[in-house]
Amino acid sequence: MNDTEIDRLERIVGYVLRVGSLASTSILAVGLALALLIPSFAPAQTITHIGLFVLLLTPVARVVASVVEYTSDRDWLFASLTFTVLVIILGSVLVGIA
Amino acid sequence: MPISPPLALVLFLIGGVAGLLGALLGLGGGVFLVPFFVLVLHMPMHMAVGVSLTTVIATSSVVSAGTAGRHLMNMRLGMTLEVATTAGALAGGLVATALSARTLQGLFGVVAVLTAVVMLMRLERRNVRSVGAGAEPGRLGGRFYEAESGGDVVYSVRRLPLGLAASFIAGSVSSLLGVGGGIIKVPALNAWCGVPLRAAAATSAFMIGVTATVGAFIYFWHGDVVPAIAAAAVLGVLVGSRAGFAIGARARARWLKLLMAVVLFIVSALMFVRAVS
Repeated sequence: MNDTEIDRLERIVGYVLRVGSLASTSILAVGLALALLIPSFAPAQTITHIGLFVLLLTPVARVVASVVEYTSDRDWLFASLTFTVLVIILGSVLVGIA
Repeated sequence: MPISPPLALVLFLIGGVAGLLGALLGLGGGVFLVPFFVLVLHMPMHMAVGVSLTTVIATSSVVSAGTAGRHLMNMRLGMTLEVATTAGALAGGLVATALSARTLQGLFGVVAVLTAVVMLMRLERRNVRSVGAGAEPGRLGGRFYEAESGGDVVYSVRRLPLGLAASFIAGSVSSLLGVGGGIIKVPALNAWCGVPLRAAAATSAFMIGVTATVGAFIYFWHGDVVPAIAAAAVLGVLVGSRAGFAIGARARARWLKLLMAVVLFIVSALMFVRAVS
């Protein structure tokens, strides 16, 4: 992977993180505001749940983006390293559910 | 803990203070957030850790989105060390669910003391560790432009196994105590692996998001992350850290570090008292 490809990955990762953090904080803010203003409004809880999931999935999304990018560049070492991270995250989800 | 307007306000304010201090000190806010939650709000320890982890994720995503493209964070090094931090986080998270709140609080006391000691030891540390222009960054090293010296800083990564070991420990501490773990990784990468402080800090901030996510999933499925409570704390931390970066008095942070070291000693003493009482 040469310098321009590293730049490309850094741009993609930056974009994923920016979109994810903006989306998650907006959804969390809306959900929290609704929960406080209208305590009997059940969907408020669903909205904060969604916001929380978007927050948790943002770093996961950038790992997925890295796996895809390294794989398409045939950088097998880094493709397997990032894939390992993805497997560990999946492990934490499965362990929690179990 | 049902959310109410006063509780949301307190969480927001506490998050704001933690985020502000974190940004000023170059730490995450977690080391302040967890004791606030436990000692002031009487939040159960596991919930405090779970909620704190969500603020760590938010901070990491926002900070890294801002530094991306400036070559400060070393993504290849970060993605290599992340294998160790996430493995550590998985192990730490599994252990944490089996440990009592008291044990975790005692452990927090120990880490808070160590954090204060590291902070005091590094009071005089300057940011710059320039390497000659002819240096080869190698496969994991990096290069970034430094405004102060007006030149490129080039570095290679030495003693990778030590960096991996420190990352594993940082990952498990993150899951056990709800902190980012930068206090372990940054000095280790700087002193042992030869990574300039700024690059080490940016790379660590990049890694703590995915690391905290592993811990957060485990706490979430355990029912320890209440979304509305996390929402208030996350929003507070983001506003606070934004203010901290705007003030940006990192260069004159000496007195602040001293003060915070004292605060951390007191915090750890209180956490010890809570652990044994």
